[in-house]
Amino acid sequence: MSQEQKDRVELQQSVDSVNPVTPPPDSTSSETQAVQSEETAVLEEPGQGQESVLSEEQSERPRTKKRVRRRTKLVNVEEILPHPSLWPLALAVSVAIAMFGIIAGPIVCGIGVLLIIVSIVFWSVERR
Amino acid sequence: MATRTIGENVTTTTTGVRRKTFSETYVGEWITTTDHKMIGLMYLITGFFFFVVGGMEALLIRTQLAEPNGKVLSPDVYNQIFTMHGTTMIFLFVIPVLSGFGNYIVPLMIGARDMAYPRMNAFGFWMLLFGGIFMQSSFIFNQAPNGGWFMYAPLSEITAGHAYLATPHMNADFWLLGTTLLGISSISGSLNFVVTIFRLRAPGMSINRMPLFTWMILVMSFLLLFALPSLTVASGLLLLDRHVGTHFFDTAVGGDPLLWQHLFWSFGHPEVYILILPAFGMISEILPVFSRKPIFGYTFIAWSGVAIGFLSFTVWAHHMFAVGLPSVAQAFFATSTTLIAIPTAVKIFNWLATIWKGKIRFTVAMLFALGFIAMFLIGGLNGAALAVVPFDYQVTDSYFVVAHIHYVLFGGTAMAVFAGLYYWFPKFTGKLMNEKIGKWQFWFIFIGLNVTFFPMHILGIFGMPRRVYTYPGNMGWNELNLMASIGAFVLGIGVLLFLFNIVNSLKNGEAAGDDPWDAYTLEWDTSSPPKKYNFLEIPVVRSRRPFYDKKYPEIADWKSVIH
Amino acid sequence: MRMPVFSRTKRWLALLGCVLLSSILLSACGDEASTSILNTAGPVAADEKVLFYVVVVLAAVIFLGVEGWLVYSIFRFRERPNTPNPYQNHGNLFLEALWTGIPTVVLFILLFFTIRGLLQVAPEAQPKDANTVTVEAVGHQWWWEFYYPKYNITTADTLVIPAHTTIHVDLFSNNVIHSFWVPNLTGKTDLIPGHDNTKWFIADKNGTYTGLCAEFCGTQHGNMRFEVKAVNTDSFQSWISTQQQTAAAPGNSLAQQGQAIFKNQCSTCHGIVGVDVTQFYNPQQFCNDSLGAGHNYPTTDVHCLIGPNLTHFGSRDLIAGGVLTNNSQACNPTDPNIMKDCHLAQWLNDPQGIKPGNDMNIGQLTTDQIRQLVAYLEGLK
Repeated sequence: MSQEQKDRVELQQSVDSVNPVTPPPDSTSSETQAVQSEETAVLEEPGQGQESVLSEEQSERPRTKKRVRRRTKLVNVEEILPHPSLWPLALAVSVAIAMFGIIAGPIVCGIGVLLIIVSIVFWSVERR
Repeated sequence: MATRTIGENVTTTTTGVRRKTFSETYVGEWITTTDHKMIGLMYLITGFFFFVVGGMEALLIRTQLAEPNGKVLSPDVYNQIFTMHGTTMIFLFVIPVLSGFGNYIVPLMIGARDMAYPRMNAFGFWMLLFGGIFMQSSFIFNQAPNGGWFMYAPLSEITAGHAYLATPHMNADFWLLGTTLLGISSISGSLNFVVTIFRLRAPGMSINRMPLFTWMILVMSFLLLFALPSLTVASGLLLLDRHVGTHFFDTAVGGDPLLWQHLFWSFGHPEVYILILPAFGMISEILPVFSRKPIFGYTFIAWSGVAIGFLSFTVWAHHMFAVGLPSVAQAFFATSTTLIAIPTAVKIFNWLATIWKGKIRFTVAMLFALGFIAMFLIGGLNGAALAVVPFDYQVTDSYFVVAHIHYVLFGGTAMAVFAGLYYWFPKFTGKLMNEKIGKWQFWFIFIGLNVTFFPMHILGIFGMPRRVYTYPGNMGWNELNLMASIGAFVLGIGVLLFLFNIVNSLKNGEAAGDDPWDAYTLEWDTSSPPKKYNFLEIPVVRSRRPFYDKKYPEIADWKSVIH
Repeated sequence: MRMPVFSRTKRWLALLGCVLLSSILLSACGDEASTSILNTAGPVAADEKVLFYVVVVLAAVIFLGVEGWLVYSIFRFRERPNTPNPYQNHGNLFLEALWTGIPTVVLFILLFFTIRGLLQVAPEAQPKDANTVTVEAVGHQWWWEFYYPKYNITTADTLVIPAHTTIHVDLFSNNVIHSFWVPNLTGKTDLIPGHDNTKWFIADKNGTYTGLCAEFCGTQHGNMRFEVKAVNTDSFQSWISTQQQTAAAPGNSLAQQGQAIFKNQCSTCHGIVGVDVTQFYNPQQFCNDSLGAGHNYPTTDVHCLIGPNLTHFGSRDLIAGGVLTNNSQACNPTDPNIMKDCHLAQWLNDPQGIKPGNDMNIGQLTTDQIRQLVAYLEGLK
């Protein structure tokens, strides 16, 4: 399991102990429900719930089941964090080739510049 | 809970099982990452690798110079080695390692989830890696840069270091292009730091409440942004001279070699403050934690860092006191250099006041931090000595300067880097580094550094110029050189202990927990290593020591002081 | 009860460590090198030495004070089992003012000495002396040329000067940057292509003072030394007269054969022996016609000697930038052990082995040819 998935699981576990999530009512099996509930990772976004000032009582350590009313939005981890991307590496390689081309010859330089343009284009259109 | 895994190449999703995407494989994860923590680790690993490369170059130099008329290295090879030693250590060790610490820790310290521009962050790292590989590849062609790490024209214009060879060799080109690539890396990193620090701080963390390490990274970033253009321009002009037939630095046709020097040192001087300010920041974080007191004079340390940043642009020609500038200019630069010593002194006194009446705990990180103060003081004193122009006429370009640079860079920055690594390693990996081995390392480094570099003050006073591949046996320099060479090997042992400690601690280190040092700043309020999202919830900050406040609410800073 | 700092063994180790570490300071004792900047033989170096003492005293005081403060704090405030939590002192404005103000004052005192000192030794501070001797020092890769315009003589690697006289040096380079440094007499000034740097100094007593190139100038920067020889005014004048004479004619047949070899093989780089220098010599002229593509090497341009003019080689002390001394008295052309005894012979036999990368790329000479050349060159007094 990737680190990210482990994180999500732990996150869910710790939060569950504080604030049990009620799965949406539907007729799917409990196993699927359990799997579904992992999708809702819980991250408190700043400024979206004044009550999170009470967060002194909340932490990653398992706590007593104290129900705290929070007006916070539940957000999926993957939506918040930056996505991995190949284009920084591609652009770096292109720049290195172009730079090397300054002394290795205009053809190499030209290839490098072309690759730079390609990398920048794909970088810009990539979903952040 | 439903079953999780599976196999090497597949991962579960809610709707079933699928092949891992490239970014989910082990290698792919590192190559496509935009996570500041992983990028920070990549910077650190790359930086420490080049530290070893530069260190081996240093040992070669010292072996050649251990005895008069050394025959270990030919002069051509020696000149490549000493040039690459300086270039590698400055551009490929110190800057990456400091960027690495910055990348990993600054977002955590300010309560952010990542840097402002994660993809540009990754881009900066890859540029560094390729720039470094490109420069080191010059050895394969036996054309490593050989004009000294500041590549003075017209020597760098001509060839492999000689005015009378017909075909230019590529030595200087590797340097020029390599440093340009590295400059691109640094600029992208600096832009990122500036935006991140200005825009992504946690609620309640005003500029006046952010940790001093973050302050220093901010000043460093501004310095990089303003200083690198000088180097880029200078490199561009030199490349044009070398390949296109221009004459910017060629006097026969109206150019001027001093133009290179002015441009280079306009970069080079801020560069050395770039190399030291984050080290100041790390020390300012470590000393309070292991003295159980807050940093003394936060505002003064922060603003003296800013003052040093501004002043660093006014002192560059103190590297050029011997070139024949008019006396008025000499006096100006002597004055500006004197001024820049004042904020540095203020910092040292504030650090000493921090540990005064504290409860000092001698962990290895603290040992290195205290050693930093001791050694940096020496570096500062011999630096102030070099600002004394008539004295500088005698000792500039001699081993006295070599002593100065190594006391500030090794005794200063490198010691701070070791301190930082021992301090933050538990956070990066969840394991403690072995304190016993660390203490041995400290003593080898501390003793080695003094045995290597202190005699160089005397060698400079005894008239030994720098960058000489050998020296005759009747100059009176023999014993001191031998001493310095022995010290270098002692340092080498210390570095080996360090590397061993890292590897060993990764495998067998004691579990560290989230907060092994009972520290004060936000990065410790995460798991070790931190989760990908850093904080479960972004904290609200009420003072300069938010984690201390959280742990000790009765004596929290915001209750006793108004910041 | 106060806990001891270290257990018994650690105490001894700490003591041993301190002793060993402070032994580094002893490296300052012992025989001073002859090229020490503290071994002054002239007023410029002496003025610069004053600054050294100012610096050392200030630095020592500050070092002891601050390091002492550090060491004291480390011992006094170390954590002990029953140490309470310290007072959380965030700062003190008065102390900040104190330790900003005091360093400022101290540094400005130092600055006063600095500016005063730099003005004392500046080119414009050169004493007006009717007997000033002017020399043009030209840096080559990797040897020193000294041209006396008033007397129209040129020599290499040894700068002969009269003592107690102001020497004015014009510094030129027609290749890369070098630096003129004679630690016993004066601090350094760079020789920068295109710039007219000058310096002055005075030798207070007779003697021979080592000079060094102090700016990295390529492969053999490490072997670009020279010497300044201060002599009585009379000796100086007689040296000038000797240098102004035409070249000595070869005395014996060995020397004549040497002369023939020299004309054929050596004059391309070393110039023609014995010709009046003013006819063609301009040390300031640049020898690289362009630093772009296609460098022209000055082998055919007598204005740009690659090697030193050898008209009076026999009376010189140094060979090839000081990498060897010219031990003429050990150079008997008929000596069977000439290769071992005579430095000139060693040089002629293998210049690349002695000074790798230098410009003297000659084919291997036979021992006979070397004897002939030694006879000729050492005869050029």
